[in-house]
Amino acid sequence: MSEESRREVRAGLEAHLARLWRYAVVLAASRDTADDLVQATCLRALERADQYQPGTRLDRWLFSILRSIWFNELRARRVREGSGLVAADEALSIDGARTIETNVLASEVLTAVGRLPEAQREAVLLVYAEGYSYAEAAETLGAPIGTVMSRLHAARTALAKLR
Amino acid sequence: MTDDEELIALIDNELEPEARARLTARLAEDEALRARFEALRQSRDRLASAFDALLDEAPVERLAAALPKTAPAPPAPRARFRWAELAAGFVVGVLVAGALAWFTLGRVEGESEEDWRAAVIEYANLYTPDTFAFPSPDEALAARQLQAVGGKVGLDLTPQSVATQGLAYKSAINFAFADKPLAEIAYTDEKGAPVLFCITADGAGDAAPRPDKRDGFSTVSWSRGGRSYMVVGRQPEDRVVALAQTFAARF
Repeated sequence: MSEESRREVRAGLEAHLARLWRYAVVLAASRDTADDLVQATCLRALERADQYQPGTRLDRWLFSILRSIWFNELRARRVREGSGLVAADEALSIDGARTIETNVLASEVLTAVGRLPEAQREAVLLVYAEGYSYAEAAETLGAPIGTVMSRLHAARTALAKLR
Repeated sequence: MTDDEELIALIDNELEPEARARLTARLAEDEALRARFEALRQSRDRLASAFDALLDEAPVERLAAALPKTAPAPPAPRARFRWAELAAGFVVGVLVAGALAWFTLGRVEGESEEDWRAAVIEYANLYTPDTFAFPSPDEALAARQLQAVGGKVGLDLTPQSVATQGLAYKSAINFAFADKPLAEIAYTDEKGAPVLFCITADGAGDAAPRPDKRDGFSTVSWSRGGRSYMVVGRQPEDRVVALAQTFAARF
């Protein structure tokens, strides 16, 4: 069971790296921190592979580790080290050098997402990037479903002001 | 709820049936409301596209290189799907009810290994929660159904070997595509929405599980041992990926 857990976790980490990174970028509103967060998540996941039940949703398990590391460890450390939160404008916009025509819009949207409060950013990521239902998002965020809906509504309203 | 909140919930497929029916009726009558609906729908699409684009930015090679080296793992697929590729609306299958008697999803032009999947999805577009609204068959009947389709594709299928958490087994049907047997095992989820597990003995070469999104369905496809597989459903991608992981480990 343990060897199987380790194998599944190792394979699953590679398969989910991009989504873990995206989650980390949105949560931390910073690409630099995202790298640290993802690496810390991978290490923790491998350390705790025995706790993963094969056949259950690996990505959710990985996301919960990522959130735990962010909220309980990395986030506070960034504030203590004085780096605070990177200017949201730079953090979430797409790398300028690689921006192509079709991504200009995406870049604007992501910049706007970066300006949202953290709780709204995460709700938007779960529902509109990861395809969670409101109920699943509420469970993940540990918030009532009504709160999730308010956050989504507030975020969508703010984003609608783009154009 | 305000109009905007209700419209957002409608677009996110989160409105209860009664509220949905009321709002849909209002939309039919109210042009301004329809315009607002369209604006919110587009804004959701832009949001989803932007998140797709961010996914593309992920420095996967660099992150993977930093993973501790362990025993070589099988090549892992990148789990991603594209909201932006969702079809604008339903593609109503050309498979009309009268044709169901012969159950052969054949294509005349351009048959390829991929086309059987396209045919399944075209057919699946006709499904509604009513399609599988009957009770699950008892174990003996399920065993007979599964044995029949399993025999055609050369697998030992039993109610136990196809069982999976959260889904109710409903039926197993034999189809054929390009003269090759195609088994469709149908389940329903907690909401009664159909989820399909398809197996065809098409002699394809091995291929690692690959997620995709077509016509609003999440799919994962793979091939092993001369058979090709696909899990299909209107589900979040991660659920379909998890199902595919489970089945790929068993067959």
